[in-house]
Amino acid sequence: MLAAALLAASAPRSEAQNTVLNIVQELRFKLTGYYQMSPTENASTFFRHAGKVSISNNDIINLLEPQVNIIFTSDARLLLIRGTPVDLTPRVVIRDRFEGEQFDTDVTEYFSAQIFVSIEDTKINKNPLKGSGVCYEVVSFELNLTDVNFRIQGLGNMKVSTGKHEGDPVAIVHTGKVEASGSGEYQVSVLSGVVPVALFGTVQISGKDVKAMTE
Amino acid sequence: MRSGFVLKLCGFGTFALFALILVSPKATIAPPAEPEASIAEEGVVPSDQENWATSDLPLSANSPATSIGRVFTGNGEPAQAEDPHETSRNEEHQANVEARVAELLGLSGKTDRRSMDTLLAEVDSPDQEIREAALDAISQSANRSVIPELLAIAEQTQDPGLKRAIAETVEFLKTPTLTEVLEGQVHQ
Repeated sequence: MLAAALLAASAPRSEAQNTVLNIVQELRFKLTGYYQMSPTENASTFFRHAGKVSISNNDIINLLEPQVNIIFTSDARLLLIRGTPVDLTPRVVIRDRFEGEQFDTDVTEYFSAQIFVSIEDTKINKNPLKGSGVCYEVVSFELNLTDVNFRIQGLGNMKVSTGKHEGDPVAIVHTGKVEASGSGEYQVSVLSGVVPVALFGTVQISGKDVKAMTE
Repeated sequence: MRSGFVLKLCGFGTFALFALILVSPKATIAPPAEPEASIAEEGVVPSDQENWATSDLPLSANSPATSIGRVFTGNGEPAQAEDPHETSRNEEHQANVEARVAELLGLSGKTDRRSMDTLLAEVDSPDQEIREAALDAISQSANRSVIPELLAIAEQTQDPGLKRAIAETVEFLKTPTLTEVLEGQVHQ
């Protein structure tokens, strides 16, 4: 509540009607999935095998390309766009460059994020605005596609700091690593059908930039 | 004569007893150590202590803020008096670390040799945040050609934590990616 009051007092007043300040952060997924492979057996023993698969940003971006009809470059990045002062349903965006021009593609419809709870243990200097401390956040990410879907959730022990807009401190920002786990399904092939997957790993949320965006 | 001797003996005994009482060390009770009077450096100051901090009465050894006990930081540690020079140095160091971490994470997904060399050079950095950032960026690259170099770094280091982190990164790199599995590049 104190952070909200401070931000309301310190946020610059925009001339435009719908220009808002958003915290732009980068997401990095490092997940490992276990799925059930075809069983084998011999004369005396029946074997069930667990297959292993890794999922990182490249894999997620590759899966989203057909949904948005864009082939992204290898420099494409997954971003989390959070409104200020508090945003429990931030947007997920893929940022890339085409012919030198930066462009963002909102993929929240297919890959969404939700912050269930955010508990701060912080010290916030009022003037100038400066935040420090820790924040405990429960965050979930959900990929919802025809051939692949998963949902992971975890607790992040986040570091609290100050986000700046054009050099001025304007927002309290949370960065850190979320230890996440969950489950999903993917279609190995038409013949094999859908295979359930158990997932665990980390999601790194980094960056303290605050940008003015027209919405 | 015998009674005289007894009287002298009693008198000497009394004198000796009195002398012992005078000479014996007195047990003293040390004054209790004064609790920390400073406000917690980190963490929220409880509302009742905030009132004392802003009141007209100065904090003293007998004030409620100090008589109840120590003020704890948000992570359960007693508050320490701030050294402004040390705080400034720590902040500068932390800013440098954050800048370097941001540079390394910016190389995530890159597979060119120069980027890999930059990341590999920081895998055994003395700063843990920088080491983690380098290994995370290498994991994102899915570049399996750096596995031998990672194993060489693990062989040379004595740090069990770093050995374990490198082993996890190598294991992640060796694991088939979801893209490879979906494209049928990995036989089930």
